[in-house]
Amino acid sequence: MADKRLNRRFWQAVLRLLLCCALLLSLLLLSQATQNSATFGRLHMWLLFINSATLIVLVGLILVNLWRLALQYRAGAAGSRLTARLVIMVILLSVAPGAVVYYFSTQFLRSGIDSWFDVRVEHALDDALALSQAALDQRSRDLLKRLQAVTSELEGVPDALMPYVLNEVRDGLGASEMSIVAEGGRVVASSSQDPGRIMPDPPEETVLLQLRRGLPYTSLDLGEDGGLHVRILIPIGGAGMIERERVLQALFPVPARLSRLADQVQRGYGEYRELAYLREPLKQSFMLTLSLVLLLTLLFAVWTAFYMARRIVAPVRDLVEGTRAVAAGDYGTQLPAAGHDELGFLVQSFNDMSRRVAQTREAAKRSQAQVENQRAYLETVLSRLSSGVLVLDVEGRLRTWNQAAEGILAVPLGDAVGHSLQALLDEHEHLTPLADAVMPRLREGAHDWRAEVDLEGTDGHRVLICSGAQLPGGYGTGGHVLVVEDVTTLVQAQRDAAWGEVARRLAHEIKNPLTPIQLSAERIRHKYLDRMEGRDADVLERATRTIVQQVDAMKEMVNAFSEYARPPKLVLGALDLNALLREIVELYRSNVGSARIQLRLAPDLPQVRADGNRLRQLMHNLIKNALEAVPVDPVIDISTQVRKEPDGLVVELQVSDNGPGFPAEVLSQIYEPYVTTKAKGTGLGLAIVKKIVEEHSGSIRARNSEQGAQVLVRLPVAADRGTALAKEVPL
Amino acid sequence: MLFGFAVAGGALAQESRITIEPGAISLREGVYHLDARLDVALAPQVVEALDSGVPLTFELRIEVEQKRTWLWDRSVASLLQRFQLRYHALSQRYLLVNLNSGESRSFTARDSALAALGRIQALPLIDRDLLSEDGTYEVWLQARLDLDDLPRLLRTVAYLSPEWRLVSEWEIWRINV
Repeated sequence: MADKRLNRRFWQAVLRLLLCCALLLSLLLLSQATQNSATFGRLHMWLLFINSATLIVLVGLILVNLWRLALQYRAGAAGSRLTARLVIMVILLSVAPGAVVYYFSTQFLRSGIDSWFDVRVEHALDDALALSQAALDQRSRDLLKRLQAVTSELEGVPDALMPYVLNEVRDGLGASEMSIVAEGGRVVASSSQDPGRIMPDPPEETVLLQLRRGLPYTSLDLGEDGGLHVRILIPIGGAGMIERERVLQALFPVPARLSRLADQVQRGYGEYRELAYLREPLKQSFMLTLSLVLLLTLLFAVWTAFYMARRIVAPVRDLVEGTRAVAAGDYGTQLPAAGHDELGFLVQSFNDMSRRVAQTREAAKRSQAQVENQRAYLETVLSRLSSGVLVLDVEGRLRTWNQAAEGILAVPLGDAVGHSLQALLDEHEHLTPLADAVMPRLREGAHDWRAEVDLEGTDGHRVLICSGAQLPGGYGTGGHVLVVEDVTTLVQAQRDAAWGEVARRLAHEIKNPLTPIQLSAERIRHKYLDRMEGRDADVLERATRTIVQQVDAMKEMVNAFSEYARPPKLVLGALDLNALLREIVELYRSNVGSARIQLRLAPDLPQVRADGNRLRQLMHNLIKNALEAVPVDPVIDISTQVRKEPDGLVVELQVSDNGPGFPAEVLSQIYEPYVTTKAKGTGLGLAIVKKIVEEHSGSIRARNSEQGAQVLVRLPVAADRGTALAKEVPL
Repeated sequence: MLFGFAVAGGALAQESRITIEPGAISLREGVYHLDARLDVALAPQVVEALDSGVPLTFELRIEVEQKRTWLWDRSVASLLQRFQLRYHALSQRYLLVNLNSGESRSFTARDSALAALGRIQALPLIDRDLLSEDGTYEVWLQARLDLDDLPRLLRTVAYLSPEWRLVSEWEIWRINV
């Protein structure tokens, strides 16, 4: 592209140079032709025409250039103003001196040509001519007198003899030719020195008019040989002849020396007069040539000024456009090379700068992309962490957080970015223990710390492990990172495991002695009750019955513990929960007197993957709990429905009663063994229910509604089992 | 304008012109002869040049062409008569020279010289024998001032100035052999 441009420029320059040479040659020829050159004289008109045509072409080219420049100027094209200024400058620089030179040249030309003609010379020539004419006139008058003196000899001569007489007279006078012409131009007789010349020239009409008035006529005449003659015509009488008036015409040769001198005077005078006459055409011709030369030169200079201005401004224009492009964000713009001068260096520097800016920008982009990638990577990692992460700046304002932190703290953190953590924690009352644990350490600037915090919130009691560390760096990058871990489930699991161990030991250590105790008591009763009477018998009977009853009760309790501690032996399969519920409820309806059990089952309930026996036990425990909680006219509402959770579809089973609900003080530990409000009971009912739910990867939540207690169990549907997670959601 | 014409042809003298008055072609002794008259008027600029000693060369161009129906016309003969008119200051006379024959005549008055220049009498054109029988021929005549013969300095001005434009229309005569 750049090569093509350079090539085109080169050929344009060559073309212009050739045109310039042709123009110079044409002007030179014109100048030669204007001067008195015979060679180019014939070409003068053609040269004038060619140069005038060139002039018109140049004017056209300049107008086209002007028009283009005006359009560019009006459109605000890059470089147009500079081009206009350069053109105006060059025009002024060329036109002004040219005009001055032209003015003085014309002055010199006029005065120079005029100076060729000297008034004294002119007068001298006029005088010479007059002198010659006077000398010849004198001779003419002499000859006239002589001729008039002999006219009497010719009068009365008959026409037939006239040639002889005429010949004699001519010889006598020394004339070269004599003739007698009658009216109408008829030659009556003639005599000539030159025998070949027969017919003399007839006199002109104006001469004849003069002769008719009786006046003689004399004049100088030019012979065909170029020599001067004196022509004299006089009227003569024609008595006795046919015509009344005749004219005697005589030609006298001027002596050779006089003729030669007169001829020289005539030639000198003629040439001078002709030259003097041609003075104005000469001036006009020189002026025309000078004007053409000047105009052509100036116009060529103006035309070249456009070209040169464009060439000079081209790199500047490129630079302006390049700068605009860079300013508009188009980095890496490369301009065509502009030669080896300072402008070329500037263009080269611009290209280097633009290239480096582009490279730097590319590197910055890559770095930014890397940072973005790292950030995305970090965010992904943070979002997938189960621990909550909060990053604070050096002034304790929240910078970054993850989803888990929002879940664990149960506060929206999206709007808290940039705000102080202190304000955030103060804003939420349930986070006060966290603030008490965290803020002093932040203020102290503890480098690495760890603390356990118990939170009491709407979701119940929660145990958090907080750890913090100071981040390296100053104002921009430094600060603190705070990691919050919810270990409630872990603590609960540990507690569950401890309880399981207790139950297993109870079952093992206590259950074994109970049977001998019971058997012993029954044996004592059987052996001694009959032998005793009265009050002893009553005592024994009461004591042994109490022992046996209490041992049964203990057995029942130990069995319950055993059941709780027993490891699950699940037989999982696709199960229609609605069918199972109908079956269980039907059993209760026939056995329970006043209790009312309502079923609100969702149609098209998807199957759950579960162990039917374990779910049956779960339902028994829940219904039993409800029945025991409401002594009078219990109403139990059982409903199922499908819910869409983030982890997939779940089947929700809801069991509600119309009782007093769970006491608030035990609500937070309702699933723990031995937590019961009833006088009777092992306190393992809900603990086992929770255990079964967890075995099925479901979740359970107990709460108080307006009517009474309400337990929600969620079980994953058969297809989504793998994705469901067991959750305990305490009320 | 009328006034201009009234003043002895003064208005006519303001511009140069050559007009060919209708003439005739006659066959005499087996040769066709042309009789015609040229009316030559010179503009003051031309008269000034003439009186300043600048010689004027007049040309009479005569073409004889055979008319042909299917082909372009054939040139049978062409004739160029040149006359020079100049002023002789010593004798104060106008000299008219036939450049073809070298014959010269001098005149006291310019008009007489111009009248003599314009007088074409029995100018032999072509032999009757050179023309084919039943042919139709045309004789074309044009008179003009030869500007190329002017002094070089005057030539450019003469080419550009209408006063110096002295060219007659072509006058045509038909000869039926």
